Amino acid sequence: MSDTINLTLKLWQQKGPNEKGRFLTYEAKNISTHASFLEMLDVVNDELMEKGEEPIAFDHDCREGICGMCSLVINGRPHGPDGGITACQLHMRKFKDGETVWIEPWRAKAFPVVRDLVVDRGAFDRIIQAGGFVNVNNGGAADANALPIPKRNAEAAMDAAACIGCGACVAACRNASAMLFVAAKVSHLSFLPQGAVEKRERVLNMVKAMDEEGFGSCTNGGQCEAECPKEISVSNIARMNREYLAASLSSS
Amino acid sequence: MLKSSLGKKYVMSITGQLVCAFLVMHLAGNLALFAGKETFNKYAAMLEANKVLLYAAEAGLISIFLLHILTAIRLSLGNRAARPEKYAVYKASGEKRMASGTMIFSGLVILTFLVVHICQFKFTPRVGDTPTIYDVVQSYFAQPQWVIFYVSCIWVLSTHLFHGFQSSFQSFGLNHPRYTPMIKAGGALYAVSMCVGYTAIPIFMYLGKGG
Amino acid sequence: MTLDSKIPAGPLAEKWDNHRFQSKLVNPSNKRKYDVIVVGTGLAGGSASASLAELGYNVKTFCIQDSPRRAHSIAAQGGINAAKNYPNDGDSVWRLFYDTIKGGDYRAREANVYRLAQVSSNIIDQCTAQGVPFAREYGGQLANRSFGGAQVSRTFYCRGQTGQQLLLGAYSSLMRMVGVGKVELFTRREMLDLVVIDGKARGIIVRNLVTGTMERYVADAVVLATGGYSNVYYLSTNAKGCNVTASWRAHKKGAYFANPCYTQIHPTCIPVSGDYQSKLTLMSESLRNDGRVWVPKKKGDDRAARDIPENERDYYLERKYPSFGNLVPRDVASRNAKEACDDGRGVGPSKTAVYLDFADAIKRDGEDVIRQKYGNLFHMYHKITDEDPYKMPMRIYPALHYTMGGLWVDYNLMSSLPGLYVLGEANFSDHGANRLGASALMQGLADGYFVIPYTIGDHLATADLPKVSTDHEEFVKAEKEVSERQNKLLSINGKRTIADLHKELGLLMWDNCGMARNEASLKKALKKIPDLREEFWNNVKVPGSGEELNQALEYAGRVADFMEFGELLVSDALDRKESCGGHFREESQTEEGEAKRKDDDYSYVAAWEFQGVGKAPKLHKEELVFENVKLTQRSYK
Ligand SMILES: Cc1cc2nc3c(=O)[nH]c(=O)nc-3n(C[C@H](O)[C@H](O)[C@H](O)COP(=O)(O)OP(=O)(O)OC[C@H]3O[C@@H](n4cnc5c(N)ncnc54)[C@H](O)[C@@H]3O)c2cc1C
Ligand code: HEM
Ligand code: FES
Repeated sequence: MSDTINLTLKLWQQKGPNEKGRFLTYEAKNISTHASFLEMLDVVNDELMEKGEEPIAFDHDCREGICGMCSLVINGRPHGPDGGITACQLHMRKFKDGETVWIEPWRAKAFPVVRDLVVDRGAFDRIIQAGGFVNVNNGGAADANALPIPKRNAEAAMDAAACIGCGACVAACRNASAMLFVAAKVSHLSFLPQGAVEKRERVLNMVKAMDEEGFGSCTNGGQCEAECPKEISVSNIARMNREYLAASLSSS
Repeated sequence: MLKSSLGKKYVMSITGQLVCAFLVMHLAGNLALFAGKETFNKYAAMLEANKVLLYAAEAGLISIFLLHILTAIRLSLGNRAARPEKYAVYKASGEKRMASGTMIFSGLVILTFLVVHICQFKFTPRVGDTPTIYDVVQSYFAQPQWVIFYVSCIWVLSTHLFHGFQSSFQSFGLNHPRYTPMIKAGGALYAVSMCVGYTAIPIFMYLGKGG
Repeated sequence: MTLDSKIPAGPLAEKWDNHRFQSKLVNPSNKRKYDVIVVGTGLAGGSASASLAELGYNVKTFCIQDSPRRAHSIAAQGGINAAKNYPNDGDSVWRLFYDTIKGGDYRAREANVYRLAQVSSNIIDQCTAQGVPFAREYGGQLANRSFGGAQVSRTFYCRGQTGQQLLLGAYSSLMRMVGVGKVELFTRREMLDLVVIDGKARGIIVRNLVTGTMERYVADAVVLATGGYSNVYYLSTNAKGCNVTASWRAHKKGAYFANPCYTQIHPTCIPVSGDYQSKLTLMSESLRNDGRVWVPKKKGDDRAARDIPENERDYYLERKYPSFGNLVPRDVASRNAKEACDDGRGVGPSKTAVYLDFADAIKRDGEDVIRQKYGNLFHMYHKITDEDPYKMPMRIYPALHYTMGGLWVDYNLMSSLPGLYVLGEANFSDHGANRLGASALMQGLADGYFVIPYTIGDHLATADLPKVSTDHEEFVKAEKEVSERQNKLLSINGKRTIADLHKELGLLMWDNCGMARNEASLKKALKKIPDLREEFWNNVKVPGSGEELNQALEYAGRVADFMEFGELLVSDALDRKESCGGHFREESQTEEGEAKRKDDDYSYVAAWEFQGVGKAPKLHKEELVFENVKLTQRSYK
């Protein structure tokens, strides 16, 4: 078994949001199969720089699957061929020698390309800003144990709260819909008594913000769940649909 | 509420479910074809007897369809606009990717089918060789090209139903670890029954004639 | 200038109350007249921004990532301490205080640590109110676990993602304040300089990382919460973007840097597998509860682990520390792993790893029990290394993880530069020479939610803060300096990549100022760093221009600062001729090879004043006074 492989990379290059992009074809030689996908890109970028060319910009930070910064569509799948992980946790041993690997940015109107593989996910922040919080000021909170919460609810809240906000759901969705992201936050907070108090206003405001950002709608195709690195369930979407209906019918 | 993306989905879901229910009634009625010419014509006459009721039902159906179709088109246009630049390679895996990804296309096929279907069975004049509705049906289903057309359209319709039936529950927020698998199974069963039921008609009519 | 720690008078337990009472308040309706800049959106910066905005101040918040939610605090796994005593196992504010002081090897301020323990409970209440989904018991009450060798269960957690959940809590509060217009948020901005006017911190220069433009922001006070500097070692468990730039530029503008040599090395990380390696992954130290650490007895033994018979293995921790065994503290475990590898008995392809073996635990408890306890970690290890730890022992090696040192701050968290506050990992305040597990999250949130909201008011209410504009000459000058430096980086066009030079610096630091340090190694580093810095400035290659998103340029700027900062770190290590906490000076050890503190000579905080690049920094000592605890030497035999 050889420990290195050669790959043909198709890397998306785009100078800015309004510029036309294209694929750069790059022959990556002697890539260690123990390297992570991003380390492979590091090596490629270093080689590009040594040749006096500009490196390919891509977002990354923690490189352990939790910050949600890395955002690559690899061979047509957000975060690549391995399930339940982010691109930074993907290792080169998942690729075959001689394979062609297509590397594209998240593609969605609401996530304009900043440069190359870097996109602007500010839309997510604006959705949270519209209601993804509990309206509580610092100080004067009651004792944390004053309000018992059934373990089941706490666990369900945690399942939803595990979202890392990477946007793979949008990238994966055929409609570029942000439903899974928004639903995860709505569910997380409404599972807990602290958040349930304002669940009506929250869901109305967050859905409004989501629609304004230009995401698509949900056809219940399930790509989001299948590609989510944290395997967040589409049952959260149903929950949001339910809450939105209730909130709409009862709001004045 | 109806302006929001979720609101539109409620519309899709309700109208879709109503049409699903209609499909069942329509099939049940049409099974009368198997009982022979007389029964079927009697059934048709009964439907046409009360003009007020008939027009009311037709108007209702048309508006439901229109709502479903117009909303579908708006949603689909919005969805396309949400990704102006397509992927060079797209392999995101959802569980029912085929059916869910082609709703608008299957929908448009259904729409074309509906137009043809209505022209054929509602507006073909019942004179000459085809004095009754039964004769009209029989005359079309005697022709292999129409049998193939009907059968294929119903196949497409079934894929629409296969995804649509269970999806409309999710759109309304009905998702539960215990019941969702049942709903999904129910949706598949529904799609298959509609498929079998509706394709049976042209095929049997055709064979019936031949045999 | 003499260092005034501003520790309030009075008995330890009353200091914070008294101090809050004596601090000047800003009238509620006046708060909106003050602007505060917060740099950083981790636990410290996020919580500070939200709290200050809630009080009514106008806050401008900056971070380098595309969203505040991505600050490195997100990666913390284990948990957060608080003296709630919910399990009724004898915890108290006093015990948390005592454990933290002792864990820090008596190199932290009593008053700060006591305050930290006091507010720890409020943090849990506050986070729960925000909707942080802490783990719960079946009765609905919060669950606790014991962590980092503490004798009580005081650690609150959200599965293995505590940092993430706490940060998302702070982030949600922050975004709420952005929504109501009290916080103006600037993402993808990197602070490149501090602007000091009339001796007070009044603004910052940032680079807009998307457009490349330099931007000036003015305020009445500046709060830095920019995290730790582990990445000076290149390989660490920190995120790639973690840097010392903001702190370092503030230091160059007059803020003292305290105890930079106190760095924490975590013993259970996945070892380096090749020279492409970009970072190291931490695995929870809870693994040492069941895993046994060993290396072969024979040097250069190339056999596979399973082929090495029991009697040819050296379970060195169990052998040397019979009573603590594999559970010795982080620094002891790390140092021993290094010794084994230095001795030529390391394992794995690189020979810089030791085994952490679960075979006995699996035999004893069954694979299922082990899977339940550590399933996640085993899975992560398997994904990264492609080796199944249920079948063969894990390979682990220590890695840089946390930095206790940071900008010097007084009791109010104000640096030696008036108007400049420093919070979270970026300051030096609470952990002394060594940090206990689950205490960094506690400190970051304590600083942001419960300290700065009180202490900043005193400065704003009492200092003379005339209106200044961003056209002030100090702004112009600072921006010019920053631009020139950037242009210089872009114009070198040398032969070596930035990462290559960064790796060289990292290796130099690791080899000479890592887990064990001695005078010779430190002097060697002090000689080599300036040469490397020179090499960097002459031979680095930074492509592209400054007027666009240019990640290489960002990186080059950060490495340039590490090249200067590394020298300070080593100087501090050289000055401190004692072993304490994470700082092990080989000259100062007991006969059995254990760390030996020298309280008579080194019971001080070393606060360094910048004198110019390449010039020896000036040392200011803040003597530490212990009135409430008795100093003892640690022993784990
Ligand atoms: C893998 C790992 C696990 C850990 N686990 C635990 C644990 O279980 N318990 C525990 O208590 N502690 C743990 N820690 C330590 C703890 O996570 C950190 O010490 C703490 O989160 C630091 O928070 P902070 O707010 O000070 O800084 P950070 O979270 O690092 O935030 C820094 C912020 O500053 C910004 N910034 C930096 N430089 C600039 C600049 N130049 N210009 C503008 N903005 C800038 C960044 O964008 C970011 O927003 C862990 C650390 C690591 C690495
Ligand atoms: C026999 C006729 C039809 C039936 C029974 C039917 C039924 C359904 C159902 C149940 C749904 C699921 C709604 C949801 O997800 O909540 C649906 C969705 C859809 N239908 Fe139909 N439909 C029919 C005809 C049509 C026609 C004629 C079109 C035409 C354009 C169409 C287009 C769509 C589209 C695009 C969707 C997906 C909407 C989305 O989720 O984004 N359908 N249909
Ligand atoms: S870099 Fe943080 S999730 Fe991939």
